[in-house]
Amino acid sequence: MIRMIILSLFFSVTAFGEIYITVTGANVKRAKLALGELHPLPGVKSRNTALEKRVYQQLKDDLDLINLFDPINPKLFTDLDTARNFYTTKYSDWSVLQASFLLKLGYRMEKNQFVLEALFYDIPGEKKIFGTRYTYPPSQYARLVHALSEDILKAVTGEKGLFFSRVVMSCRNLRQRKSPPKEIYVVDPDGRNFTPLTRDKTLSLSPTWHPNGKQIAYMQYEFRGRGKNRKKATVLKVHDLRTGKRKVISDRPGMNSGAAFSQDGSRLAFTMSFTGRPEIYIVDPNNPSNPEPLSRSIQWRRLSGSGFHKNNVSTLFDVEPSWSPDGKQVVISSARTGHPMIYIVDLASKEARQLTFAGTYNSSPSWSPTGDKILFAAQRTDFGNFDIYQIDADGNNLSRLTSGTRPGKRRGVNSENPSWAPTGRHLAFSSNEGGTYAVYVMSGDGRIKRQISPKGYECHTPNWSPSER
Amino acid sequence: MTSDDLNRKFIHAPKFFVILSLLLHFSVVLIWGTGRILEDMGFHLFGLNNQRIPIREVYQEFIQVDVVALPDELISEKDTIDATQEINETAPVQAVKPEEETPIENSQEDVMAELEEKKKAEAEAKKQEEAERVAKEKAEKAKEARLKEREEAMRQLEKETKRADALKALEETSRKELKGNILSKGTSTRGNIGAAKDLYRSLLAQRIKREFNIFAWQQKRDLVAVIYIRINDKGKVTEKKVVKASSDPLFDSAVLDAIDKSQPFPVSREASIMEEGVSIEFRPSQ
Repeated sequence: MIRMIILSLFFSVTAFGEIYITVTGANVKRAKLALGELHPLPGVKSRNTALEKRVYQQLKDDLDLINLFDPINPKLFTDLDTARNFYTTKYSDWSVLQASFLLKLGYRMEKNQFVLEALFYDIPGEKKIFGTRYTYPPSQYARLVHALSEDILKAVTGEKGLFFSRVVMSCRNLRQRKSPPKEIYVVDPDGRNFTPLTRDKTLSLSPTWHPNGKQIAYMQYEFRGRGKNRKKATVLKVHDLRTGKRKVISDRPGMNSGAAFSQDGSRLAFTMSFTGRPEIYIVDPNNPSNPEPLSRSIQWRRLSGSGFHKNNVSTLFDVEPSWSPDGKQVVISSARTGHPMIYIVDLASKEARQLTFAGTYNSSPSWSPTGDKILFAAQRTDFGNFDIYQIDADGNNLSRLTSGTRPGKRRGVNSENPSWAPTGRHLAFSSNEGGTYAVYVMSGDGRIKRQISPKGYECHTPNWSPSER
Repeated sequence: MTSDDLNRKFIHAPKFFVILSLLLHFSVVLIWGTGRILEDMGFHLFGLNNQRIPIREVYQEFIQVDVVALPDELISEKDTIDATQEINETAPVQAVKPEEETPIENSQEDVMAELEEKKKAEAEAKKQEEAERVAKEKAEKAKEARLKEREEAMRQLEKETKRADALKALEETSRKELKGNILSKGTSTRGNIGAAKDLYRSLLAQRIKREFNIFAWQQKRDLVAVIYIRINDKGKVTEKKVVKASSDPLFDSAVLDAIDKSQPFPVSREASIMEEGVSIEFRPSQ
């Protein structure tokens, strides 16, 4: 009896019952897309092969950038003849090919307009997703293809704004002689419509979008004061794109830079150094006279040791804030422990959490619009170049996106200042891969990379706008 | 004092005390043990019930941050499962002259509404087609040629998938994670069978996770599917049922696919574990 009780003592500790496990963190696979050829609509005889080719190539480029699909070899379905069977679809024909989606394209020319009909099907679900007719002038074929691609992106993922959004950056025209100034430029994510926003012939730096897409904040060097007091100073301005009017947010001595709007546009976080140390302040952009100091009220825990720690003002070095989508937290680059590292600051409690620990210099964090990931540029201990890394907001899954290290050379290629696209699966960054700095657009897995700033310009600090449609 | 004296003084305690001490110790264990068992059954011997956590849930978990360095491996290298498609370095987009912003007319209409009419027209066209039999014969010949081409492409595809599988197997064996932040959940200890179970649990999860592939747009969705399986001693699935299906049929098929591809499963030496079967909960991300 006693022995039984003692035995049961040991077994009462273990839980019986079947095993229950949780599997998360799936790998990402691509969906197979059957992309039909572009051909004239049924009953249409005339062809415009040159335009056909350009449209089809643009569509392939766009689908590639969307980075969701794996095109099926078109030779596998030549006998299905999408030209003849344009309006009829037998799903079983396509499910044999393991296709997830089918896109059929037909066009005709009508009164100098290019008319494209696109039919998009869900093959396993056996349903039509959309059938849309796009009518654009032939010169605007790229916009037409972007509209179609945007529709596909939205139908499949619910994301929008990969093609109808803009990237703002600070560029120097290298064709000008004698120390060309840096101006603010705006460009489409495909590299088209590269247009200057400022023509001030001074240094205009670190532009950033207002979440409404109608305003841009940037820092400019300017002469301030009169007579003896006249000297060059930095001014943080908000530029209204509709009226062209500019509003000064701060012109205090020292730096006034690195601005970031909160997602609702009601607050602006930026760096000021009038105390001699770079510190982050938060201000209401409509009433900029009363900035609220953030850096000096931050408390943080050391890795070893207990309790909270506050820095003296003389040891502060906080720059480059970026807001979380809910506006409750800010991610910053701070050198409060010595090396600049990434910290997340909770705005209610003012508690900071150190997010990155490795490398010698971690800078320019960017919080994704989906809220789960943070991009930053980091310099490693063994190489002197900056590369782009990504980390989850909870500190997991640190991974590397660019590779600029050149074996045998201490200085490799730098990739800096990442900025998320509104999709949360793409980013823009600046890199000196081609000799001079240029702005690139990349898919989040690093598979696709395209230069969007034109040749002959040196461009830095891209910032991707929110979606416009 | 000699060593004998020492022995006599300290070790040879009176027999009575030794027995008393043993009895006391044993009774403490007995009372505590019965108390425990009764408590598990629902009776509370000592009255201090509410605050106490039942013992089977007391185990320690700790979080550990291993900091080595920034990772070398690129994310694109990590995720290339599809070896059939080479990573193509796309040429940078050429600079395009700023286009004039011309007011453009564009319209987007539903094509499908007009489809019915078109079908009628098509039927008429079919009648005409019948008259053109000669042309059709020609087309047939062309079709045959295309079919041949297709077969060739199919063969190519098969080859490529085989190659991809081989590459994947190679990649798995040579996979090593050396650097990066690892935030591990830590371990939990729960006695003998508990430990065996925990080990088996993590082995299973690892195996299945490797084959668990979903589409990018499913990652952020709140999808849950629970599958119950039984595994025989060769690691093959003998019973499989969907306990809870998610709202997305594509996600469910990805889940079933993961289970099929994970065979043969690791096998546990504990017979009880194998008999009871395994319930697996699938979620897109943490």
